[in-house]
Amino acid sequence: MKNRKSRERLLWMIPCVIWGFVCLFPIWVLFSGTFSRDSENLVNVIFPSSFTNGISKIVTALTTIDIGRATLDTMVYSAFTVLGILIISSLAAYEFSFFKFPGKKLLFGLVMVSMMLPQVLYIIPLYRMVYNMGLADTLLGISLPMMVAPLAVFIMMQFIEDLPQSFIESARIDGAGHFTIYWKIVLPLMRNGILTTAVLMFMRIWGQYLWPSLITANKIKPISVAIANIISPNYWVDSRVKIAAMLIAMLPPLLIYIFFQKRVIEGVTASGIKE
Amino acid sequence: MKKKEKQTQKKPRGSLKKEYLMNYLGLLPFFSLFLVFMLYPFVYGIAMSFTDWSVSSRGKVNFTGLANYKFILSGEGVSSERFLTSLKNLLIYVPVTLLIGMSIALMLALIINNLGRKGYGFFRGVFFTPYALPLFIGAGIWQWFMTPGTGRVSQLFAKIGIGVGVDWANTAIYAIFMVVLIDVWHATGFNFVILNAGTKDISPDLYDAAELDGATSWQKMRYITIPLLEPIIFMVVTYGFISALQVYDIPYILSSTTDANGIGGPGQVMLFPVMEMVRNVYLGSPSGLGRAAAEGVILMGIILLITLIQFRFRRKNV
Amino acid sequence: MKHRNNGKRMIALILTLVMVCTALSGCGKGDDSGKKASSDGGYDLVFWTYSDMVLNDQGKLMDQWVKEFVEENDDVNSITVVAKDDADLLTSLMAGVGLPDMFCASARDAMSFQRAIDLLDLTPIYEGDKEWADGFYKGARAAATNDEGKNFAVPFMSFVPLIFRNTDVLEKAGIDWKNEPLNTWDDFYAQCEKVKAAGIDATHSWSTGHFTCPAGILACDAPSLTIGHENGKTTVKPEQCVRAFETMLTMEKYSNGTTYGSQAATEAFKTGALGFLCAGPWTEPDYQQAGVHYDIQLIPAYEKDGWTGGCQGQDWMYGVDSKDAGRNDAIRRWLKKMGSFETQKAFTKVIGRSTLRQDVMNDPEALTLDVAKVLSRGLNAGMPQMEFGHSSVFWVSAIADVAPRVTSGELTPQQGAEEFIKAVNALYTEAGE
Repeated sequence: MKNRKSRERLLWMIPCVIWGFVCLFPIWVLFSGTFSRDSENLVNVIFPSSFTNGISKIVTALTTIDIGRATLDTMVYSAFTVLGILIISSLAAYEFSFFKFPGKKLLFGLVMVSMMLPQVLYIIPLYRMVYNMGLADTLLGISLPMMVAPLAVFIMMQFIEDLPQSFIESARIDGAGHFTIYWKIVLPLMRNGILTTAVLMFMRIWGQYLWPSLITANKIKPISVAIANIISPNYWVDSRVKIAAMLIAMLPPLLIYIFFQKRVIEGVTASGIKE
Repeated sequence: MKKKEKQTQKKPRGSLKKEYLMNYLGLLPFFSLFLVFMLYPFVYGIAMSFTDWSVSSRGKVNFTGLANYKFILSGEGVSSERFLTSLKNLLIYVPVTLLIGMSIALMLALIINNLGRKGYGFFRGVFFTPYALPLFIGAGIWQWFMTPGTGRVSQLFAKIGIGVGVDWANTAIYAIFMVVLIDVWHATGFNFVILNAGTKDISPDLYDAAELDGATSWQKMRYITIPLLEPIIFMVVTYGFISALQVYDIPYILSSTTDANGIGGPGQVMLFPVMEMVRNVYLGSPSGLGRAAAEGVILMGIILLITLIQFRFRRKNV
Repeated sequence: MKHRNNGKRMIALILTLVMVCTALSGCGKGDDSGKKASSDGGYDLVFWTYSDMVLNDQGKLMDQWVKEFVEENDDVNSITVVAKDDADLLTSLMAGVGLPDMFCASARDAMSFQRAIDLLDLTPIYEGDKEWADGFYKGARAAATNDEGKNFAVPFMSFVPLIFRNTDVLEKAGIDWKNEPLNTWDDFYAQCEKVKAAGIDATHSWSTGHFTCPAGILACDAPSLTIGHENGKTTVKPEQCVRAFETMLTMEKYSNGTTYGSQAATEAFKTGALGFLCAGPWTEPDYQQAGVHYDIQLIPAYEKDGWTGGCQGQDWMYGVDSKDAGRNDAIRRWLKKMGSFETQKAFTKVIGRSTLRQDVMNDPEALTLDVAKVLSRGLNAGMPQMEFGHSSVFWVSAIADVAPRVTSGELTPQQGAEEFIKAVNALYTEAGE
């Protein structure tokens, strides 16, 4: 039995290693590129060749685009937005998944359809409205529109679908109120869904460019805008510095992912159900 | 046990109304923000597709009915030709990228559970990294890999007879596949995370029971994991369609130039609908924004149709 | 299970509190800076400009100019400089809210700016100081004047694409580069042949992927091109463009397959694997940093001392009408400073970018850098990318779709020229001009 298991494990390793290589090779090449001498052909670099040059590129990247400030600002509004998304989307997912009520189909349809219109189309009226509300270049201004995340509702609904109805029933019988059930029973069971949604939404918001660039001026500096400023085609920035900056920008979301994924736990155990 | 039982209708009338109130209350936070920040601009955008909204409008638009739509679908005029070409490109792009991307993501999510704890943790992080890398540099590095003649990946392909001597980025069809390549590399991380979390939601008791019956990991996958993962797979595929039909970032980065007409590459080999919409927004031509809005609505219609078909298909088979 | 729940709840609660506090503190009243002067009588102006103007050397220059201006002008408290690139800027302007007081942007979008917002009438500056006004290139100044004779912009920056030659490669190919500049296309072909014979790639493709190279070639024929448009069609004739397509076809022989502006081409040039690179002047620091030995040439002419090529891009500065006379006057003063001889001379001298003041570009003192010298020559020839300020159609860009079809053999140069004119006409029709 053990032999078969370890043989199987080895077999399954192969595709993982292949795809893992595909994932990491480009990033490794970029890393090597940053740590290469200026006289080398950047496009063909595979192995790092100059530690000092790489360090100087990283330092330049950090100082030119004020990456510390940009990371902080982006962290703040991303975290704030994600928190909002989790709360309102899980509530909405809860309502849509377990209950029937008049207008449910219509409301759900609206949510779905809103994912289908490209953002570029409604960005101008949205900007005008947020500006007229006096929220330009503020935390609320940048976050509130992004808190509406139909995708989050959609993801959470799929995770809820796996939950047995019997949980709800037994809680009801015990006299639990509508929102108590949500808070005490559904939410903890949706843990994996919530963590997944949190990580993915955080990533999307971190990488958002169009909306943050419009709505911010000098008070809030999103990192995507900071990066866009150095990759503008109108003037030259050292390619190695550009790469260094983007590798640095990749770190916070990656760390967040690793941190949160550790907390995704193995499935719902049978002992959770009250018979 | 899988299907949700509908709420019993045995409750007396009064408490049903109260129940509905609770439902609406729960939906209130989402929908109040939705109404203000999404619905209003959304309806505004759709309404504008029936006008001659342009850069010169300054808030005063004239109702033109279906003029924008007629123009776009006619095939006459630069924007119309480009939009129709973009739809053709979409026809190739969407099925290919979804087929390849979803298969890989699903396969990875299933396989990774069979590795030991260390392998599992390591690869889970690895598979996600392409999604964490800013797309600009992600697309950029693949651009280098696909350089005509000297690019590593294009050379690899040439060795197995694909695209010999072809400039992928500037040649029809090959350009679309280049976008597929980068999209699969990048987006698989996203889909993998969701599917992986989904597999975690399946009770290990089921697997233990199957072990006792002597099931191999392949059989466990086929009879336990995949069926239970179905709702999540459905969601990932549905969203995959919605997202692929709105493809923008990757081809934009690859073909970005200072002139708006160059977006999408020479001969529009990698032009997609949303890119053409953006071009109309910035072009400043008469009814430019109205046309962009109409293009958006047409695209939305296509997406809606495909999504409805998927929901219908699922209801029939589940 | 319950224990973990409580912990989670606590964390969630604390996070929410923190976020709410941050939100409240960050919740300002928005950017609605009153258009009237603030209480101590000074204006706070907002200036949008390209992101590179706020970084490094350019940023230092900009800071210095702002400081000077605020000191010299009592009615201005401060100027806030915000980095906004073309697309952002246009989107913000189209939304019609949160407009700046003045901005620097491409001349390409001049028509859109005029249509989208009320640009400030800058005629008072021009009429108030003839010496200032006459210093600009006539073409640029005329472009920045609208049909009613009113000036709506101050020409600021421009550029011509250049050819960089890797002199190490040339030496290997036996070319005496110090004494053999690229005067004519025949010179260019000859040098490419020599480089190829030495076993090194000559240059990248001059026809695929980007309009700069094919359009740059077309610009050599600018004196014979009847540029303009009427009745929705261009006045350029196909037969005027045939020679350009023939040149592109010849150049394709020397191409190594990479496209203009691609990293692959640039890296090949920097590592001595490519002899000639067409690039914008702003890329020069890249080669200096890599330690490349190079010299700078213009896109050659067809005859010695003939009309050199290259399409010029232009960046202008605009003002936004604030409806407040005092504020408008302050804006005009700033724009005048930006367009002044001293400012633009400093710009060219320190940064090496070419400006649109003819008196600066012809002043030897300003041309301290080699690249500036070359640009100065180039600006006296070439061709603007489009009819700046009088048309929204970027007509030369249509060549990018046609050029590859000619070099691949699908079309003859004659057919290519006709397809090109057809495409340009389609663009004019689309723009309703």
